[in-house]
Amino acid sequence: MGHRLAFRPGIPGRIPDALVLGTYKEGMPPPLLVVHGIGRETDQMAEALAPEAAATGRLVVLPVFDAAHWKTFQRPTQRSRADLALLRLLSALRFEGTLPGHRFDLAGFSGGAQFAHRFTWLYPHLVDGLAVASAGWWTFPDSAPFPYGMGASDQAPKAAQIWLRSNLRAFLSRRIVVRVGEQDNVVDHNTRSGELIDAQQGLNRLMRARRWVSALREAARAENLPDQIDFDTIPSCGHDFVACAQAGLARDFLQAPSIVHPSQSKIEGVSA
Amino acid sequence: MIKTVITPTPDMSRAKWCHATRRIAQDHVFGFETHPEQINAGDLLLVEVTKISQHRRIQLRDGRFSRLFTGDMIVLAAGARFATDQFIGHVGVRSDRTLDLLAGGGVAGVEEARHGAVKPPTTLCLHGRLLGADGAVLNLKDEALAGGATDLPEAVFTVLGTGMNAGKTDAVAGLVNGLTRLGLRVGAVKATGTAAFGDTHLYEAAGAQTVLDFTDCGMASTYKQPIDRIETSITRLLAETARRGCEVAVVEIADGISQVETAELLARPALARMTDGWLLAATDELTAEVALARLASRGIAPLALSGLMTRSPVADDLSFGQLPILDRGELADPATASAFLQMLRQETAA
Repeated sequence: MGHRLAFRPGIPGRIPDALVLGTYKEGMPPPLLVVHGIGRETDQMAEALAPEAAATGRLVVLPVFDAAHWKTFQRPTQRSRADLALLRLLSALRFEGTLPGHRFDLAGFSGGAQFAHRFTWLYPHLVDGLAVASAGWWTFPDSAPFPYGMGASDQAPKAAQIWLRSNLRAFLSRRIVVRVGEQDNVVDHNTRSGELIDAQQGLNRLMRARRWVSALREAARAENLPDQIDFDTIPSCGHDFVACAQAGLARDFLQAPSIVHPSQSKIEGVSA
Repeated sequence: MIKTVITPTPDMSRAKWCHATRRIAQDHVFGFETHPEQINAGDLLLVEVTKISQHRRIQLRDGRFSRLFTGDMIVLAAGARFATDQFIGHVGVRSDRTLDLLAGGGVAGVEEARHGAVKPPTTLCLHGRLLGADGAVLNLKDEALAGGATDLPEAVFTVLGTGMNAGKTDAVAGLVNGLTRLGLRVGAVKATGTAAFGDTHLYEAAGAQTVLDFTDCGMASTYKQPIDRIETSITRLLAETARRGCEVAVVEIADGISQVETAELLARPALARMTDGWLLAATDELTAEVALARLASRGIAPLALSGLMTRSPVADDLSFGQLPILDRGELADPATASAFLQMLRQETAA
């Protein structure tokens, strides 16, 4: 018998709608949140993830950042603040008993990978494991102007530099799984291009994923942190979630082991 | 002819019970002492309003304000007051049985000095001290929080200021709100000052799950209280927030860092041991600079600056090197709260 799929309506502009796949049971691995790309293809994502979710028994939540209110959800520090919307959804799901504890694993594909890595960077103590695939571009742990890096920029809230720099070490301490289709090397109309970003990140998603992983590894070394980044390409795949899921991404999202359990301290390490 | 002496038995139900007395149940009053030889800090007093001046209303124990009228009977607490923008006063009563309303939360004593811009205090006449079932004078410490719990919240932030009205309470409320929106259970503690519900109401409005202040440890005011007692009180208040399930607590230390009790608290190790991260609220750039230097001499390096200075039209031009300067909105952002937690973690690791 498969996982039950439920729709949880949100409040427009405040709390995103969500698809909830399965239920949480005591002793299970932490829940997994999966964020869609700019096509908001959550139905197909839920369908593609369902068999693996059922096999692992994991609760999967797929928030839906509708385009009317969260057009640029990929960059959570934008005016619409998709990060705060997700925090509100999490709070509501905890209150309703759908989610246990405070920690979860976070995954995202394409634009969802952009959101997921930036959210984890802002709130590393909430996310146990991060799995991201096929992002169009990334925020690097360097001094490039935000959102390309951690540097000052007119496009960022004044406090954004503090947020990123303070959380960098904790972000790099997460278990991070990065995937990209081995054929996802085509510049399409959704690929953000330009002199700065191309020079920093490369021309296409495949190059950009490789460079981001290298940059994270270098930053982790500089912080004397162990390498916890698991990078691989998805064979015979381009930029298509269902194909990637069938080729192993569903397993990567759902079976990557979590380092800690949600019953542990919410303020990890503060008073250690 | 033998004259019998009648002991007055005032109708306590007519009296307005002030905020400072809120932990004492009204049915614990069993008697009345009309001619006290002395008054101690925390004693419950029955007073009559004889002349309304600076304070035109009082804060009631149920959280409402009550306009004062001449002839009002009030139950309040004896206490000292240190407020550079209002009164400085001590515990006591004058020989003519008059005393002063030193704080609207219900603290009475004798004014020593006042700010040039405020009126003289509202004047009170002492009717007597309230007695409990055992005949002893009722005192706020009778119903203080019990000690015993020792575990503190996982993280404790302490907010200091350059002086009164530097923006400390706003900073506390902002941080409480950000931490709460991050999904944490947050306690807010007003550690020193004079009984009043304004600050604690704001903490509550900001989302604090548990709100406590020094009155919960039996003090109407911390001014002129022994430092040992204040430190014990802070420990007890923080332990109580943890006992009630708070993972994080935000503490406000009243007045400026040069205020006598605050300076002493900062000179001793106890408060620093309880604090994982400090914030400084400053009125302007110069006071911030001086306060940072003084704190540095105590080994205290705040995580960030906030306060009134961030509302200045030149706030964007302020710079203190790498030290973040955050306004109320930025402090209330969960992303800032998240960053602060990581700063604590890194300090702990270091």
